[in-house]
Amino acid sequence: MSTDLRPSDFPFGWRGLTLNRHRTAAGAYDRTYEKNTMRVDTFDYSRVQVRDQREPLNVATGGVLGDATEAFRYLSLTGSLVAPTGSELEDMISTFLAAFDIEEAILASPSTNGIFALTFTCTTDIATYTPYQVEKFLARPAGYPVIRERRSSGLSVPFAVELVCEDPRRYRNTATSVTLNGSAWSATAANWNAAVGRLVYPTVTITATGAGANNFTLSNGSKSLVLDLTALVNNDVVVVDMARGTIKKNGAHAASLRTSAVDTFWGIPAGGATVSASNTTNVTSAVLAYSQARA
Amino acid sequence: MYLPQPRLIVEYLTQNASTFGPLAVDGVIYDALKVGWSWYSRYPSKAFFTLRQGSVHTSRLVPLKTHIRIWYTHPGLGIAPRVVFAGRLGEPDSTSDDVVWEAWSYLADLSLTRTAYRTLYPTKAIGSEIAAVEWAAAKAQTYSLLTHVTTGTIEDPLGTDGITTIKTDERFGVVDVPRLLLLFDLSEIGRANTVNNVVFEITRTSPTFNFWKNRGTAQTAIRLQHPGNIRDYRFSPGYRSLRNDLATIGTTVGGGASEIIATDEVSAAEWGRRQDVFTIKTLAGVVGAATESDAQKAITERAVAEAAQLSRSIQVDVLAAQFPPFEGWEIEDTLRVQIKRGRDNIDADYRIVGIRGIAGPGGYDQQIILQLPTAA
Repeated sequence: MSTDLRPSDFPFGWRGLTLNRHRTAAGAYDRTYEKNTMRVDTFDYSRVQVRDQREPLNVATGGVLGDATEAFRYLSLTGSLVAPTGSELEDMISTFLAAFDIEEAILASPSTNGIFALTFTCTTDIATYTPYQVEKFLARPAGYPVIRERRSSGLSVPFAVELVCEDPRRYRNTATSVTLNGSAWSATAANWNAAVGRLVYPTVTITATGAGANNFTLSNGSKSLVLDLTALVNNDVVVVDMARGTIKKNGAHAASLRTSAVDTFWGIPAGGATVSASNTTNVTSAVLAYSQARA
Repeated sequence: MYLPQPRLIVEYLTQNASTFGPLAVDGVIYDALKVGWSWYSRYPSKAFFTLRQGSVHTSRLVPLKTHIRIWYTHPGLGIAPRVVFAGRLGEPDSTSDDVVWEAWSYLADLSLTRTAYRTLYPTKAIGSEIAAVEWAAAKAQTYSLLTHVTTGTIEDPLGTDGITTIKTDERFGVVDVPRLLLLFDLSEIGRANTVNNVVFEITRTSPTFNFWKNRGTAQTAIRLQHPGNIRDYRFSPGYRSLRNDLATIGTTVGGGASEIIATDEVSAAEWGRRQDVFTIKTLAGVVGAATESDAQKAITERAVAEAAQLSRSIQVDVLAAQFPPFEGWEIEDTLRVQIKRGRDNIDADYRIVGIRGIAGPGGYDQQIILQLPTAA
């Protein structure tokens, strides 16, 4: 079902704040908040810093293109704060400044170093995802918000905020969970479709009832991570963070469980993958948790 | 306002006039522009911090007398402050704008004490009968800089059988040697021709002198890996020092000289014959040989085994949040390093011999220095 609605026609979420609250979750106009809202006019998420290593050849035509990776993504939001009265507007300004204050963000979430989800909504015609999806960038304020007070501007002020993401990927807001267990040690791990998706990395939580195999294998069809689970006992939980390459057993580092090569941590590519677990002696389940991402 | 991020806290202390050690906390430097610290195996470690000329602390800091402790904390990760450096201030380096203060760990004070002239240690155990004696003498000097350091564990290095104490020969002695150099040499002698990691140290917390016969724990729960917690690395495999054919001059019964040659034919077949000469170290650590000649041959064979191994030192930039300083590991510990990148495919147990960290405008960066342990 095609729709003409754009991201700025839906609410945005940030640290408990709802921008565009004069729009419902489905994008409908809500007159209740027409004059009491943080109205988003522009949303720019296209600026991605690239680490691009290039080296010209020595006294020869041309050069060599080295590795290139996307590093930080910058987001900017502009719009207007609108309130029914002057005092409500001033309080709204203060609320807005606090929500986008970098130090307050870090204090509110020390474990993520101030990173929160900026949620927004996009329409799509892709099967299983249509008509729209709430998506997110994991961001931190990149500077202090701009609030421009002007005489004769009425009960509204323009604003501009800048955010930065250490992970440039655009995630689906709802997390995806895939369980591998005795019912099926193989399953589909979805990730949009091959045309729009982006590689993402899951965490895998493995629960055991006792000593496992010395070659418990987690595979995405092209790469296999092999763990030695022979030292496990009942109720042990092993968590593999595929993005960081860490393995923890009952919360403590347990890197030596991995017996495969260092580059065997794997992700879920665009379009998804068939993931499987094998040599599952005494393993109750392996649960993948991740957020799908698209370009 | 302190945010829950990695932070280095520099605490400075007055000096006890009788022990030359730290006495009382005199202040905490909250206005350093940049702070760096290091901690190395067997070498004095250096730290620094930069203050504006107008800082309130500059008038309180006294070169060679003020002591400092640097604490690392990361409330975001739940890491309470822990001492990563302890020592005394050295030289201030000033410009019109700021002052860079350097500090050296207490191990550096060992370089400011020397042995007596012609002190003989014939047939003595390296730890209990030389290191302990020299350490006690260093402490006992009038106005010794080391009076405040506690004497801890002093062990005797063992030979290849893991039982026999290595002893000096009947001619061993010292002549006006800086004690830092002597202790370093003693640890080298203790290591000679064994796989033992003989080290000495003055600890960061409650400064204590130790001389260990084989220090370090094999850490298996943590690894350094790329991709993973290694952000970048610098690897020099050590090909240029590879040797596989060594010759030395030994003695025969009756006092004659004979040439002893040992080769690693596997290495020679792989890399070509690479000859060199070497001198048998005074204390070999090889025990159980039937004759002196057998011992010399065993020493030479062991030397070629070591020379045929690539030395492989590696320096890694780690993501500090994923490898905080001294979180489940210490200097001297070994752990698995795995790197797969282009031509590098490293998968071996390395020994951590150093760490340094700098907190500056770009945040907190940390490097770990590792070496491949001596070949067995």
